[in-house]
Amino acid sequence: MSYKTQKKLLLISFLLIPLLLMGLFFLFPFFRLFYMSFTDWDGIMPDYNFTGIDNYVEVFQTPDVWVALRNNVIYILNGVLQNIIALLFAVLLTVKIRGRNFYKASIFLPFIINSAAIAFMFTFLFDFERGPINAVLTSLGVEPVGFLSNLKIVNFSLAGISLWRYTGYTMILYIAAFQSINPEVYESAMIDGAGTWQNFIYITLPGIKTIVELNLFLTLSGGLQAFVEPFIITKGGPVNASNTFVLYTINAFTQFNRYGFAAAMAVVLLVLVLILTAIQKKLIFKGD
Amino acid sequence: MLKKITSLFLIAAIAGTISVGCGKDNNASISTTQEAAVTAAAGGSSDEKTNPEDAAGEITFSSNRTDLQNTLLPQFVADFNKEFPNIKVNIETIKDYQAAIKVKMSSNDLPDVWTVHNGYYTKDQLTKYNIPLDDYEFAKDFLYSEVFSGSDRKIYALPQGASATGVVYNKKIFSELGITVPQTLDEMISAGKKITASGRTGLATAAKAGWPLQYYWLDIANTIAGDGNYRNTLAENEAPFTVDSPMGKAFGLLKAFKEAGILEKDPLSSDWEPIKKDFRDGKVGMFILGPWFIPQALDPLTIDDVGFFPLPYDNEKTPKKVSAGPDVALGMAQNTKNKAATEAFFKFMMDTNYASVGKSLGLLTARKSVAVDIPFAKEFESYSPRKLDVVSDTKAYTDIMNKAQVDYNKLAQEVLVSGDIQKAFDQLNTKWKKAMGK
Repeated sequence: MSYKTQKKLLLISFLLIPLLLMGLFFLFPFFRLFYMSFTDWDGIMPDYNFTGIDNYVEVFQTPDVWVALRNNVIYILNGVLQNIIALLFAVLLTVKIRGRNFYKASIFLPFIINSAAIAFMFTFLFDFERGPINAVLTSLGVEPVGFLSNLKIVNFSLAGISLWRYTGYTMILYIAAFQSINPEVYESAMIDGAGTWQNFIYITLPGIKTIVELNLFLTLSGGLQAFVEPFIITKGGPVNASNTFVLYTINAFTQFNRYGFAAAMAVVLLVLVLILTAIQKKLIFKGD
Repeated sequence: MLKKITSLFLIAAIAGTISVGCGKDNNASISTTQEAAVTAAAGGSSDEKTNPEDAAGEITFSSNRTDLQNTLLPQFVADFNKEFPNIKVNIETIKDYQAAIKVKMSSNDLPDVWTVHNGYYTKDQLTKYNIPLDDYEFAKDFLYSEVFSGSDRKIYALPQGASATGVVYNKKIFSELGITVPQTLDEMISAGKKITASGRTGLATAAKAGWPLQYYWLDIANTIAGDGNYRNTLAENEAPFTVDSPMGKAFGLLKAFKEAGILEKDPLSSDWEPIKKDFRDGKVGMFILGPWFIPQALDPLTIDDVGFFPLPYDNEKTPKKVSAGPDVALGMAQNTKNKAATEAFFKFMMDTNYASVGKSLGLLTARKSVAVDIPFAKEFESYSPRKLDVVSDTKAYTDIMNKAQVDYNKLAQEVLVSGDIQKAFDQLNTKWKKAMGK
């Protein structure tokens, strides 16, 4: 056996199992989901009928779906804010200040807490009558706020939780990007007389462009897929005020036995993410 | 670019896996369920043959009552083990119970004995996944068993008890404030106002949890209509929701309570567990629920501090109608690997030990020949309520409900938010008509 065939054989045998696993757990379910979106399967019984594109037509004709998607926009805007805050912290914490590792750790900490625990914690914090935030407000003479019961506020409360939770993660990504920039570039810029602001605009930002791109992609897809907070804390309520696209999808199956419709919604979401990411690339990064 | 597209697809595929995971071995399950159906049909009438010494093994008993995981449920099992020491019963309580059960159904992995809630599973599903109970002698003794019949009209679950909708109230608060049990709606509202004025909650809703609002559209609408079959008649009408309809009047009651200011300070912030604790601590006067709530409402309150009266939904001084129907039921799964042990436990819960289980759960009896002795049941009967039997939902009705994705609890929340019943109903009528059209 020649060296080349040996190499090929080795490559194939090493790749076979991971590829099989990927096919079994990622690709097969994905195509199966796509297939089921053209049926009226209830998610449980073995028999179902093909309904063509009926599910897709219905997704676009159901107003509640788009109300849910509008709520997702709040999560996306919130994600943009999250990136700005994270960038700010990243800049501050790359400078040599006392105890910066402590600050880094404490900002990152929420990311590693279990999301259900976070949800329960905030349910308590946001509580109307017993919550500490409202207790402080009342003692200051301010009317208590219905963080989770006011239809206009609930989405911001929930999006605020994910802001608090993911800022640390975004920050760490930015800090890592900063460290990948060659310090000699800064030195030579300093010799040429560049200030801190000029350094940031002309050296740092172009240097971390790929990470900004990644973070914005994560923000977009994360915002569109937001569901943990409303799922655990409000169940999409009050009324439908905090329903998100994914939560609506889950309820279509669990509450109303409509797997086919839910599958169609999942496919629509995928297409949405693809389109929006493409637009984002074209508009902000002018493509490459 | 190609790389990025692949990575996007991967991410999408991961997202896909989450929602598809529950259904992917669908094809595999067809054959196994059919086999199970055959064995179940063949051995269906063998219930007299179970012998305590023979029955051994391990089974799972599943319930939505997470609050009883370490209290009552193990006690039932301990009592059971006195008779059947060789059977190990694993107790499994699940928080989001009905959704979890549907996933278990689709993967053919139902617990051996499981709690069945009326209205959450279709008749086809019950027929496919549960063991028919018609051949068991004691099954004939049950009221409301028709509610749990399958598409082949056989019975697939039996109620652990009967329930009726009424007002659970704190007798201590009533006597402290000199309130008598209200017989009309006005009396009820003024009682609520008195309790609220004393710094407590007059009438609790737990509106954040959503489901405690179900009594308004389920049972109260039925009693106002005077027809246990009321909801099914909705399926015959293209625009059945009007403010004057029983459903509209039921939501009107909720609106009236809200406007009278007798509900929680902010009902939509009020969740089930906290308000339950408030009730126990004597901070809540009344709560529209079933008698099953009373055992949960005790400590520090005692059984004598809590009463139960029919809801006065109008201002006539006549005995009130109340909706009566089955409480949760138990069923046996066809996919059980240990039928003898499953049957033994089922029989123990539903037959031999029925009265004591019902008493500790605070349920009225759903059996013709077995009485359950609970004090508040006597009080309730003393108001001579006219009982209205609940009829199970027809397929025509549930089909429209699922198609239009109607969630009445959210509708009730909307009434609490805006107070505009007509507007909420207009949207609902549009959905309803569209769902009927297809």
